[in-house]
Amino acid sequence: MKNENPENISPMEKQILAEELTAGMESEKPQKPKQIFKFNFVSFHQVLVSKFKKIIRPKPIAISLIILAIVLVFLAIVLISKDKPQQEDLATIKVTISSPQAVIDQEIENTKKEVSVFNDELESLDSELNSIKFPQIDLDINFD
Amino acid sequence: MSLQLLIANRKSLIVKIIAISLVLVAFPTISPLITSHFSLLKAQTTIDAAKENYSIQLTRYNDTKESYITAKSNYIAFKSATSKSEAFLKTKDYLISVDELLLTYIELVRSFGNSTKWQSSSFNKENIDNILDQESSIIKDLKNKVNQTTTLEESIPVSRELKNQLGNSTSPKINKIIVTFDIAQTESTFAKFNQLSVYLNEFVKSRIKPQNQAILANWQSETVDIQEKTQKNLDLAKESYQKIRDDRNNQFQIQQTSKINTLAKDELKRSKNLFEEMLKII
Repeated sequence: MKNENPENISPMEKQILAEELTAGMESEKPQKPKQIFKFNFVSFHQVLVSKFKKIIRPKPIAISLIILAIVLVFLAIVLISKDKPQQEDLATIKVTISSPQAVIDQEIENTKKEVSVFNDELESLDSELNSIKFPQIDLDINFD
Repeated sequence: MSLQLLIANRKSLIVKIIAISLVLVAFPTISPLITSHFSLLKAQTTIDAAKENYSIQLTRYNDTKESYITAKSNYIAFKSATSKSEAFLKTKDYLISVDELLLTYIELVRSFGNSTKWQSSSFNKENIDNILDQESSIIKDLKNKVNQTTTLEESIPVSRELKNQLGNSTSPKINKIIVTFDIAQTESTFAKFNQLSVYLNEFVKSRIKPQNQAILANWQSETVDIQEKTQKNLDLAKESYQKIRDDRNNQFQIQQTSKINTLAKDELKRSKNLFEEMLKII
C-alpha cells in the first residue's frame, strides 16, 4: 500500500522503492546489451574477414613470388656447383704460369697417384675368386 | 562458415603448391650427384648383390636337402602312398632349389667377369658371356622339367639329367671360366706395369741427380727382370690353360694353371715398392 506523504516513507520503504526503480531500469537494459553484443560480434567478424581478404587478395602474387624464389635458389646452386671446377682450373693455371718448380711438383704428385693406383691393382690380384668355387651338390636321388 | 572453409582450402592449396615446387626443384639438383657416383659403386654393388642372392639360395638349398632326406627316410621305412607323395614333393622342392642355386651362382660368376678388366686380355669376354648364357638357359629348361613332374618316378630321371649336365658341362666350363678371370686380371696388371715402368723410366731419367745414376741403372735392370719373368710365367699359364677341358672336370690341370699364374703375380708384386723408391730419389 502506498503512502501519499513522502515524508512518512521509512528508510526501508525508500530502499525498496529504489530497488524497484533500478529493477525497472535493468529490465530495460538487457535489451540494449544484446543489441550491442550482436553489433560488436558482427563488426569484429567483419574486421577479421577484411584482414583475411587483405592476405588472400595478393595470393597469386605471393605464390608466384615463392615459386620464383625457389627457381632462383635452384639456379644459384647450379651456378655455384658449376663454378667450382672452373675455380680449380684457374688455380692450376696460376700455378703453372707463376712457378716452374710448382709444375714439376704437380707432375711428381700425378706420378705418385699413378703408382698408388697401380699398387692398389697389385693388391687386388689376390682377389676373391676363391669365393666363387663351384658349389658341391648332391644329385644321387634314389629311393631304394 | 563457408568462408572459413574457403580460407582453409586455399591455405592447403598454397601448401601443396609449395611442396610440389620443392620436389620439382630438389630432384634435378640431387639426381646428377647420385648418377655421378653411381657408376663408381655399380660394379661392387652388383657383386655384393649377387653374393647375397647366392647366399640366400645356398641356405634354401640346405634346408630343402634336409627335408628331402627326412622324407626319403620316411618313405623307405613306411612305403605308404602318403609317405611317397611327401617324398616326391620334397624331392621336387630340392631339385628346384638346386636349379635356383645354380642360376644365382652363374650370375655371381658373371658379376665377377663384369668387374674384371679385359682391355689388355688375350681372352674374349663375349665368348665367356655366351657360355654363361647357354648354361643358364639349360638350367632353366631343366627347372621347367622338374616343375612338370607329377610322380616320384618321374623326378628320378630328371635328377640324373641334371647331374650329367653339371658333371659334363656346367661345372667344367665354369671352373675354366674362373681360371680365365684369374689370368685376365694378371694380364691387365702386367700391361699396367709395362706402361708405368716405361713412363717412370723417362720421368726419372730426366730429373735424377748424377750421383744417383747407379741406382737408376739397377732399378732399370730390376724392372726388366720382373718383366721377363712375369711374361714367361704368363705364357706358361696360358699354355696350361689350353689343356683345361670343358667337357669334364679336370681339377689337376686347373690347379696347375692357377699355380703358374700365381708365380706371375708374385713376380709382379716385386714392383710394389720399386716405383715408389724411384720417386723418392728424384
